[in-house]
Amino acid sequence: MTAPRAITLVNLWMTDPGQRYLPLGLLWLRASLEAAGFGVEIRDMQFLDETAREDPQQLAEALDDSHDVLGFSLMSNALPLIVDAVRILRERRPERRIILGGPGPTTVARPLLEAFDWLDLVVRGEGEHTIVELMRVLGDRAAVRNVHGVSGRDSEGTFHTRDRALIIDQDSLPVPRVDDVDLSVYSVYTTVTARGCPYKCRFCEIPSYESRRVRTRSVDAVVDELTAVWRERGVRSVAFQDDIFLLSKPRVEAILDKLHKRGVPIEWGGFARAGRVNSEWLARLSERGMRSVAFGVEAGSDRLLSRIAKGLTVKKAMAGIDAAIPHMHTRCFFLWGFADETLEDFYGTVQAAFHAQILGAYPEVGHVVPLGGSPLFLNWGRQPLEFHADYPFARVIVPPKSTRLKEMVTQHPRVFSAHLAFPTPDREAKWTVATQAWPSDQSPLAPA
Amino acid sequence: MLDTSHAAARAALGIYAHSLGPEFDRCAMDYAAGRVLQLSGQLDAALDTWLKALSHPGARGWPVLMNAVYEVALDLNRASQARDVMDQHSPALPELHLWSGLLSRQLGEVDRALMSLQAAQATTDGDLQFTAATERIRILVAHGRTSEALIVCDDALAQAIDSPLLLRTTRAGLLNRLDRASEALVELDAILQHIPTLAPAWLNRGSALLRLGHPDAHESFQKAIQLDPSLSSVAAQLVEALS
Repeated sequence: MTAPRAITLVNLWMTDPGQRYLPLGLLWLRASLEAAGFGVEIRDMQFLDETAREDPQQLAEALDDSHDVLGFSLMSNALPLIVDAVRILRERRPERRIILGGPGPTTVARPLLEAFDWLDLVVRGEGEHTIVELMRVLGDRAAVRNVHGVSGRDSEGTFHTRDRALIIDQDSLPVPRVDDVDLSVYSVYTTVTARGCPYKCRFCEIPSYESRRVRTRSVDAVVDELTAVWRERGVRSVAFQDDIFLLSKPRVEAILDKLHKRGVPIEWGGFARAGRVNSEWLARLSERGMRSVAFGVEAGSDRLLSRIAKGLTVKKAMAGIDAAIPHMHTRCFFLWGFADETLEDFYGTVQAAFHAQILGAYPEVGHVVPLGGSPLFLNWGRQPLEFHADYPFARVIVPPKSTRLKEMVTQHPRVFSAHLAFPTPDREAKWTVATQAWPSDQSPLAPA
Repeated sequence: MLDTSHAAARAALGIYAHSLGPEFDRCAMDYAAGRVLQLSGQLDAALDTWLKALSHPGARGWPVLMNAVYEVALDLNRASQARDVMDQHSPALPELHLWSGLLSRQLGEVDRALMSLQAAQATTDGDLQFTAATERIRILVAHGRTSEALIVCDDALAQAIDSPLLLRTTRAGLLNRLDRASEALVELDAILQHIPTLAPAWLNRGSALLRLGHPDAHESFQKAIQLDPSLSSVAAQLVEALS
């Protein structure tokens, strides 16, 4: 195969019903690929209708006319669907090269390639440098084996190259362009100002994908981007998608100061740690455009919070929520279904969610899933994981509908762990309460 | 299993309260505690907890708490007790008059219900005030006291209550019932000029026209059903009753 000159990048971020987010990961990849001289077409599958998005055959057909190199960016939730869609795509055009990337395939690259012989390339971790190098050598089997951050299969079998070094200088990356993106079709303008999360929450896989080392874009780079979209594209509100945007007070203040000086009065929201905010700061942020905050609380029991290494107490969590409510739209996320979760822990979580609700917050309660790169899963050596077809509380994990996908999931628990559940004590009792307390996984609890 | 669940729920409440300490709003915590007890099947304990919550100085009269008390009290046949507790705390928490009135209505104590709802209408605002007024009207109509209902409606409109167009639609319905369909029609046409998609106004307009023997009544009913299909049976009943 001669080196390709163009690639179709496919976004498969399956999000909340009705919500559409910019395919940020692909826009960053495109910027690097274009800077290296490659042509890039982005297909955002969020806009396929729901039936097509959940049907591998229809998805494959929708991509029939793509370039000879196809790149999928996905999270764990879309993995069974895409693995099967790739099988169909390969059957229809065997010469096509298909690259999987994003958090979903990264954390399970080894078992994924072992289990499915029609998959041939996975880009692990941050993809900007890897995809460019890969595109340059895609026709050269030996050279592909020298690209860091790649897992793959060739005529000699599967291989896994060294992890790619983290991109420390985030400003060294070409900045994504959105000049050809119809921003009006997305729920909100999203951006990322930093990668990585310093915390050690055991249910989370972000550190295994982005590392615990937080790497920030410069204040100027962030402000330049927001100024440009504010002036040229009429963007007035922004959702910061950093794992924790309110991580460094001086940095947040510096970004806001600079936006103010530039005359860019955006409204914005982002994630925060409930234990790191207080009413005074949130009031000030509210005056400077902050309209929403989201906290990961996870549990209403100090014992369980300690077991999952959340680094938070119930008291701090509720104090953070209480501090935010008067100033902004406050979301808080809870999880149930941990393997170590007693019935007492579970009821604590129920109480915390309702407590937050009546105070005026918007709690969202989901079922914990064994994410492939999470310490909870990586250290799981006990009973088999469980498959629950009527998985009602894992908001963004869509249960596979077809028998084929269900079989794939149950036969390959190491690959599709995110579609399974940890055994949890008293599951039936918890399930009964949860279905009464939160009757629909589609809509978050309404505020009091 | 049930005993285990009950015990776990109760243990969790103690642990949660201990984790938070004394500085948190007890009323909010008690609401949430009641939900845990309710979900674990301990309804009497849930109601006791919520009734206690009403006495906290920090109680803000959250509708969700009042609704919870109302529904569970009725389920447990403890409406009278719940109503008395609400009345006890209503001087500090005027919105309790509303739920007290609703419970009295369920208990069949019409005069007491009307008195509580009147107090609610006088001491609350927004949705609660509107609900109090419309509930008073509903009770009076149900007991054949339509002229009094019209007075309540006029008083409420004079109070500059929220949702005046809805209330005026109700007023037109009362005028229909009082055989004052011509006045109702004038009122409804004015309302529909403001909100042409207000289905109940079309329904009442159909009713007024039918009473006046006007051939266009059917079109108004059709319009009401088109805007809100759930009105079809009411429209059919009206046509049958008035034809």
